[in-house]
Amino acid sequence: MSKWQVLLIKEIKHLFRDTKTIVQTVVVPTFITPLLLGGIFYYVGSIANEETKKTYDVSTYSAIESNLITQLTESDRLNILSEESIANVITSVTDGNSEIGLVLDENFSENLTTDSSAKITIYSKNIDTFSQAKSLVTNIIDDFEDAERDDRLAALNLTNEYVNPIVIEEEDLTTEEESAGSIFGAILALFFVMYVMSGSTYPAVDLGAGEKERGTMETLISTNISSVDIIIGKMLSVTTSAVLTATFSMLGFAIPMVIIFLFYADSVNEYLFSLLSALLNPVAFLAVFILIIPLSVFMGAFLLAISVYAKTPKEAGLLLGNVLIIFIVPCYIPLINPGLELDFVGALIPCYNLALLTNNLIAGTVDWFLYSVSFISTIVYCCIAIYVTYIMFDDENVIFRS
Amino acid sequence: MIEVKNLSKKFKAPSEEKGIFGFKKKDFWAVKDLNFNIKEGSVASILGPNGCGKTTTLRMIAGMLTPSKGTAFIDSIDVRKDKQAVKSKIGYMTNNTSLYDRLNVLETIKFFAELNQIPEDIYMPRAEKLFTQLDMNKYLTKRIADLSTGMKQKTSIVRTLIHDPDLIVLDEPTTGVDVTGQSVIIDLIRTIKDSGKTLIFSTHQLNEVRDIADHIVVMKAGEKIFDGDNDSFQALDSSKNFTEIFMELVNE
Ligand SMILES: Nc1ncnc2c1ncn2[C@@H]1O[C@H](COP(=O)(O)OP(=O)(O)OP(=O)(O)O)[C@@H](O)[C@H]1O
Ligand SMILES: [Mg+2]
Repeated sequence: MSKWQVLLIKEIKHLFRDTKTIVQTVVVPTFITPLLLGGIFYYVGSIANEETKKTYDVSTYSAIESNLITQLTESDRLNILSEESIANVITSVTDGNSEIGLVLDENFSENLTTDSSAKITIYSKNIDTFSQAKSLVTNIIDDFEDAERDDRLAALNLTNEYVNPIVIEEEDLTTEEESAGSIFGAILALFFVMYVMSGSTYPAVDLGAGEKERGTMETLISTNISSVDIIIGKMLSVTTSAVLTATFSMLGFAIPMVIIFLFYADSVNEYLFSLLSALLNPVAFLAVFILIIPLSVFMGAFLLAISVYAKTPKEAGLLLGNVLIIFIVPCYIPLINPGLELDFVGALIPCYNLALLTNNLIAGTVDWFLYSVSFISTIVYCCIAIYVTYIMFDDENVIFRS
Repeated sequence: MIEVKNLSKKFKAPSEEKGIFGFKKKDFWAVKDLNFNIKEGSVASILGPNGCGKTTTLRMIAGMLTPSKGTAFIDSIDVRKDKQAVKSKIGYMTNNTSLYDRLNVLETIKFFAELNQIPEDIYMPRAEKLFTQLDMNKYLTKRIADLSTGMKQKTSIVRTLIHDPDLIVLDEPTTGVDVTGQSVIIDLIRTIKDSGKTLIFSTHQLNEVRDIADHIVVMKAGEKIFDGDNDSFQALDSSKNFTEIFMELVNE
């Protein structure tokens, strides 16, 4: 057995006898995250669901009688309140006593009968994105307007087609895979990157600054193991932990999905079900996994270099905290800009390329050339990070820095 | 066995001693123009007050630090030229019994034996002999974290000797160990000496030096102030005891 293998086996044994490592690499990614995500989805879903049953208060002011008000009153999800003045309507909406304020112009009926435009003012606050109040009200107004228009056209002996010379028909050809990719791709990538990092941070700190502080690094250096063997052994230990974390986090996502797919298919709504089926794509998962491996080696080497440089685990923690941002931000960009396309330059940016490629792999629109560019560029970064780590381990000022 | 020639080490000054703006880093010599020879089969001791450069010297001899000037030869191998060869000839024990907490005693020994590429049928009998000699057979499957300081120290010693090195370097081997532990270590040093190996250790315990060292090197502020055998040390002032002579030397 070569020396790096001896070291690797020792490090893995030592790492995984620590409950902290087990929690980080296995327990959290497999169980906690799906629970957390499930919880959030369930909560958001139940709010949206509740909103579809809710009745809303609508305060109105109208100086004249109108059929519109009667039609609004007939809706069983709207509770129509009459106010004394426009000012009262505004106050009511401002103070949150009613969801929507509706004011009919004093010439409302007159304008309608004289074939001119009648004015309605709607007051609302557009913060609550779940609220259906406004769409309920405008739908009724639209119906009212349609009826009014039909009357006017009939009076002139004209058809509806006459005033609508063009009919636009839209058909959305987005496949389920593409929707699934754009919705879940960036989120999944962000999660994987976070897991790879959380899986490698603790081992990196422990195997670098931790060993320096405990003095075991000095003992290791005193044996005739070369810097190269030390780096290979330590880096592979960090990477093993990172890849394990990534694997378990993938399982954490896949297992609940398979369970839903197999046993609860009927209770999931059709759209969500089609997205989930699109997500369960073994080729995509495998291709993402293949990209994650060099990425975790890269991060492992990078974090290890910083950790060895640090004087204490505390300092290492501080430095690594800053580094994490460097990896997280590129994952966020595709998340907040859906529709971004991967290009050659983008394929050179670690994490950013992973996010977009995950998206494309799920969508089935991946450009294998850019995939290879991303894969190879990550390997190049790996080599650079490994070289930096090598310099660190070979520098007595770093190893004995205290 | 050990030939130290003008061995010197320069370090950057600690930050509190930097110039006003921090960029006037003053270098200082932690070890300066050290010269001594240790014969094969002898036990040598390095003495001196805190910070005089004992650890730095031992680290340079063991190939862990590169000398800024001069060099040391171990069995005629230049530490500057072939660190790895020097390291494989040496068993080095640091002064803080640093071992891996979550390995047990046996696993620890196995790890260091395998790092030195020693086959199991060679290192196991060697380890068993040492375990018995150090009376630690009851503790072999205990994790390092659960051991007493003395037992940790013994484990460190076994791992230092497991590849049967020609030269054993111990940095303050008895610091932090109780009286019984100390005498066990001293006995072990004697056994090593009897087996014809060379040993160099640093210490603050002068009685140990008097009892077991053949060769004494006293350092002060990075420089050698005494180099000779036990008798010539005593001969510095026959009316005084060991400690008094040492105090006088160092406080001059
Ligand atoms: N890696 C380093 N970088 C900078 N200065 C150092 C380094 N190692 C040691 N020194 C300094 O060099 C001097 C000698 O240190 P050394 O550890 O060799 O002394 P020592 O004789 O072993 O002391 P002690 O008895 O306390 O163990 C000290 O002033 C110490 O602060
Ligand atoms: Mg010291």
